[in-house]
Amino acid sequence: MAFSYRSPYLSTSYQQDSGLFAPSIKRINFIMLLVVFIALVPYVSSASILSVANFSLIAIIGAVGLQVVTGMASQLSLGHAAFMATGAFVSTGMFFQLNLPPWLIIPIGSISGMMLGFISGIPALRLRGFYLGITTLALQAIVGVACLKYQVFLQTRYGTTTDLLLPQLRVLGVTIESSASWFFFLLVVSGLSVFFVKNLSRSQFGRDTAAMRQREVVAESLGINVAIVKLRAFAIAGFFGGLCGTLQTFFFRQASIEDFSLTVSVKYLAMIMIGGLGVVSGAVYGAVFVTGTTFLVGEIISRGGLTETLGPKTRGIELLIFAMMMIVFLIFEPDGIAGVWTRVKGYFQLWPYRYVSTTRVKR
Amino acid sequence: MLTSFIGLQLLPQNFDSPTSFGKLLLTFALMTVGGIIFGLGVYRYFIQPLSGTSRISIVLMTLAALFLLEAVVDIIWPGESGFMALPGTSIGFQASDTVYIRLFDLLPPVVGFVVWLALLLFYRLSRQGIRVQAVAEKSSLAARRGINIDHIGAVSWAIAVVVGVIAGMTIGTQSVVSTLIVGTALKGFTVALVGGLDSIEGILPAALLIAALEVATVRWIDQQWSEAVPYIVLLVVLMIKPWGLFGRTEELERV
Amino acid sequence: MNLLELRQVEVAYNKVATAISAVSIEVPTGKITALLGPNGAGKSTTLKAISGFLRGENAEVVSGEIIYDGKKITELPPYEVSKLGISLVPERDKVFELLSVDENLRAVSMLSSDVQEAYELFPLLKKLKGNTAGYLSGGEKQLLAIAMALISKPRLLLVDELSLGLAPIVVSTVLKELLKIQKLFDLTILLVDQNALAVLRIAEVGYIIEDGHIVFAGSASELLSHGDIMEFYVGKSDGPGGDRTYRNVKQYRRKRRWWG
Repeated sequence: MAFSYRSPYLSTSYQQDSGLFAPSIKRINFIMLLVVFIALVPYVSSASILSVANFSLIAIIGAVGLQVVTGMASQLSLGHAAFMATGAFVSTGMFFQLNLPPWLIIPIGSISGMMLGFISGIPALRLRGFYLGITTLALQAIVGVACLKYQVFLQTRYGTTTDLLLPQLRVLGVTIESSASWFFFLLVVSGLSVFFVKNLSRSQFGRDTAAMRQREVVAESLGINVAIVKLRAFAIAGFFGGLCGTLQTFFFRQASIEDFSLTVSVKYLAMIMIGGLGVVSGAVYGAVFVTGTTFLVGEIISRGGLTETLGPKTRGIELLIFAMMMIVFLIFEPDGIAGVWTRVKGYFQLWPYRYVSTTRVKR
Repeated sequence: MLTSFIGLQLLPQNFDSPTSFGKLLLTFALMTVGGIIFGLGVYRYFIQPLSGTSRISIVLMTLAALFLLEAVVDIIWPGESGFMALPGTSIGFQASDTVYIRLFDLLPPVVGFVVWLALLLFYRLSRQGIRVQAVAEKSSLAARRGINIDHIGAVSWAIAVVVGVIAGMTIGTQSVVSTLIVGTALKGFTVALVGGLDSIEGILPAALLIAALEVATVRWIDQQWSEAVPYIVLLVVLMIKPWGLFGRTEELERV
Repeated sequence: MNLLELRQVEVAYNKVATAISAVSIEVPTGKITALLGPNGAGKSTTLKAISGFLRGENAEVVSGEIIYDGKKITELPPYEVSKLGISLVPERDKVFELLSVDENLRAVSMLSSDVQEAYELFPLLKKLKGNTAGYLSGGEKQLLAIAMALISKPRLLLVDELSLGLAPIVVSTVLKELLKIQKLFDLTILLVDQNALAVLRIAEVGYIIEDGHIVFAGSASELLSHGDIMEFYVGKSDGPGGDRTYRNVKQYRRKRRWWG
């Protein structure tokens, strides 16, 4: 079969089973799809679709980061936007106050996110579940105030908000200006991010978190240093959050604290829940889906000529649709899009059987 | 326990302004009744279907409900903010040389105290309240012993919404009503956690502590940082006492 | 007259993993029945099937029926089952640890008089009234759990692994209390346990379940005198010396005879 996807029944060695594309023709399919995708998208789509695509790619970076800490390590993080904000404002600050070049700013922004991530992880050593979620929320609020103050400081020092523009991003000598060039750049960066996290899930870290997800106490007694793993998870989430925020700032040429509110944190959480908790592909699906639909709503309103009546309410309507999406998925599809996809694949893989039975043969 | 606090903090209410005392009572009564119905509805359609799923899902669901309400409010009254004018704003008395207390300044603390006391008595002394605690601890055992879990959940949510309504109305008398009330509601979360999530007794000291620190910050540092104060207190307290100041430590496996 | 009957019941988890199959049990009214067997045999699953707790574990009764007092109760949810007069004392999570003994009893009762009756039946609990349940000893917790189960005046009491984690003398004390209660109210009891000897001393009827199948059924005295059962579940053998010692270990893996 040309589209024979990864089947758990076809591996013949551990290496094969944990490989990136387990035994199948999937590898070829994937590369083919990727090539087609990359080549066509920038040229076939309209400007708005391209900008959505770009924004989705940025979101993917943030989402995979969150997936590591909340999906894989199962530590509720309600403050993801704080990581993004840190990245965003540190970058802005680096530019205005220290005049650093972009290629230096991006890593620094990401690392600052990582450091905040690490700090967020510390409460995780003492708290669980809901309590932990609230501490991440607390950090979000605190960082929010800090960034607000910093934003005001920068504004008074260097001009009004509109003047806080970051320069064009220059990577390897190329100025990234057009949507298309952003697309390629972001594709590379988000591709690397996804690849990194996917590899994480295949590594010791992935196995450790899988154990911790099931029963933390047992994982600890098996020798897994739960504390270190949690800290790592938060640090990684912070890194990608910071990277996401930094890139977002460069993309929009400025940073504003409203872009990093609690709503945004929840949006990212919704992304990984809607996409599928715990699987890397889930973060991708979720990011694209949420960004896409939010944008779609705006488009429908403006294209449908309803700008007059509904215009000022756009934000409200977007929020409404977003909330309804969350609710629908939470109730009807708790495994998310990735879950649906797995079921579909499973159905075709096992057809005409309905399931694999594990009933013991009776004596 | 958990659900009632989540609900309590996450449902902002917004209203227009009545002006006379009579109208006020009527509005209040209406909102309370409406609140109960609304709370039951939320429970039935949004929370109940999720019973048995992970905590994360339920938290996200309440957040989704929050956004839903915020969105609806935003759509119906876009960008509006109002003020609930109460009669008797001018009545007051001189408490000391520098302090002049107006009658309506006393409203929040009095209302707050009454509500707190009512909740305390309900949860600690009444049979129904004890049942809620039992369900919060081990719902499977409660079900076996004939306690109707869905009823308990519905009651918790109804209480949460009503308290939310009261809170919203009280806030409305003190400051501007707008969607930013959500921020205040979130601060309520910190109070709940600092006090201890399963402890009603803890709420009062926690609230006083946080409020005092907030005001002190406004006075001596600045207003913006005071927004962060409740959260800073939360972090400090939770690091020292993970279950809150008055929480009972057996929360161990409540993930 | 059988208050409870399981007829060829088969339970599967996740639609594919069979836990028990072809299980048929008769619990006679007013008597104590024992369901014995090793770990993982399916005892808890059987109790869950009766009390309606399968759905929460993604399991269901695939075939067969559960008849209680002449009515089919196979797919009823826990709340309904408990209303019919079936009370289950679970293996774990049997009391509300954060509440006091008194609060525990109040939570599960409707009237204060019910709570007073419980104190009369279990004077020990009255002494421990204000104590937090989580700090009670194992035996005390078990008594509280039984008291809570009895408050609703059930007709059928199911007890899961009563003896787990309790010292032998405590086990016999609790069982004695149980016997007293049973005689007092003419209660029907189904005891599920691994401690065969202790339970068979007060039971009148017994079943043995292994690997999801019932492998033996009979009166308590029949079980107590059956060589294989005594060997595997109690450790007695009728080889030289009577009681088993390590000297007789060689005979440990004797083939099971009773299906012959």
